[in-house]
Amino acid sequence: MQRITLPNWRVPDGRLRRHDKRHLSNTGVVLNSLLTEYAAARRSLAEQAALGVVGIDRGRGRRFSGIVWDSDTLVTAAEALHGADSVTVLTANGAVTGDILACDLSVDVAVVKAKTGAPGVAAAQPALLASGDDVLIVGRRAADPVVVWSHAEHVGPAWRSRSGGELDRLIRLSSGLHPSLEGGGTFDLEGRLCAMAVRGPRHQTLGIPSETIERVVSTVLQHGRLPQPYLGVRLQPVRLDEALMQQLVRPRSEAVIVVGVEADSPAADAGLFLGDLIDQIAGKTIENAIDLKVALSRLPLGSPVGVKVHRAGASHDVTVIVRERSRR
Amino acid sequence: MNPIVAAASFSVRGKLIQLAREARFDVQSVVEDPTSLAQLLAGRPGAWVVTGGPLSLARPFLNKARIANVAAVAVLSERTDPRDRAELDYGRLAAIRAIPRVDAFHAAATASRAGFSVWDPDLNASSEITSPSTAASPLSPRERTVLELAGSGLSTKTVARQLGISPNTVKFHLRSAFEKLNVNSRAEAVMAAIRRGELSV
Repeated sequence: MQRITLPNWRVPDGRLRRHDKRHLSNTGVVLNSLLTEYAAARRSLAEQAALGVVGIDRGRGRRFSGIVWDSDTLVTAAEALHGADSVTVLTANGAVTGDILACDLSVDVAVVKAKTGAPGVAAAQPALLASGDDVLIVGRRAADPVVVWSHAEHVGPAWRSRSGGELDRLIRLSSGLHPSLEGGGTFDLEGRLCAMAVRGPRHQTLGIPSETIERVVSTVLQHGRLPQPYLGVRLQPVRLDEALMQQLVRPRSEAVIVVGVEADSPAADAGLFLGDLIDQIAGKTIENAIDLKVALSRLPLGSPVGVKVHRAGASHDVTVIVRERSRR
Repeated sequence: MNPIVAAASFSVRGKLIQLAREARFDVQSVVEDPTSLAQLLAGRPGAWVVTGGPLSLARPFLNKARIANVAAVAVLSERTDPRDRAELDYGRLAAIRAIPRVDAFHAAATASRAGFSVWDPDLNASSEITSPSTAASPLSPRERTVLELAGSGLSTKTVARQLGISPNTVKFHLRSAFEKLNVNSRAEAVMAAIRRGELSV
């Protein structure tokens, strides 16, 4: 059976005391070297992670961070950009200009074109992360790495943000986020990218999962921008009474009716009218305006989609061809 | 069938008539007191009523409409309590906030006549502290356009170029839209505006 030995310690007058004279152990030395190793491992992890992040300056001293996705693409927090269309990207090797390719405000991801020359951190396989796992949040303030050790407070299934964005996982991080770290990378203990750190509602720190970032980046690189499907209706929430809920076979009383139809929009072309209750689109029940927005974002552009509306006491099936809003 | 405008106050009647006309309804008749409304509604199942002002003044007319089981649109000038709502609601009442847009009125009329009950979310009595200027003031057309473009992820400069205005003007419109919607970010502003029926989906 192993004896537990305690490290040597000094009494205030400086004499060395040992707890167990029979075990003149070197535990203190071992512990010291373990601590040194631990610190070195932490430092190398931070140094390695810092290679995959950049500092971003949008002018007037507003600085935050970004993640090097591949050799000429960065990602950062869309909200932090505040509508900037180009930024200064700061790396250990100097500054380059970054042009914003697209912003997806619903998931808070902006894709930036910048030739940093740094190797990308694009995660080949999403890093497994569980509640309680240690992570490090790494960014750069100007060219200097900024590192915060934190842990994933809550890792959950896919969820929909308040901005109507669909995120592949819920990742809530335990620490508050300094503005300079917004848009920085969240790495696991093996140095793999898990998420981008952003500031969420009510001072929470959220991680935008790497799968979600991947989805946005590949769409942007494929189309050069993010498609904006729309229907062209303004909606008003209404409550259904029991009879109507039964008639429409809806479990909840929340619904929306059309209070405005844009001219020359897909809705106008399909013949949607003021006062129409939008029951379903492509088989998905619509309870509020955000449901409709999310449902639209999943539909293929340019192909006919069935919309079920309730008009003047009867259900009607309407076919809509969802397309992009024309740009002036 | 055209609406019957019912309100005790002269100025409220005037506003309601104007609103109904703007929404392209010909006002069928105008009444000043609940009793004459009840007489008018008797034997006219297809009639519908437009009333308004503060709830205390609109309530007698709404009660007559409920008894006659006809559709009613209430253009209320103040927030309402959920208890009032439970008391008044009978399935054919559409209540909207005063100074509504014409299309909101039109939709409320359509909905109530089709047998829906509609309550404008802006009428919710809430304990939240909201500054009077932010409470339910509608966005200006320019604010709406700017928010729609900026919300689709365009940069401030691109929005400015598309609308032929300066980037600072774009920021000004966005800030004032944020204030009206009581939000702090572009994404939240877009969602709030969509929920309020200010932006289209």
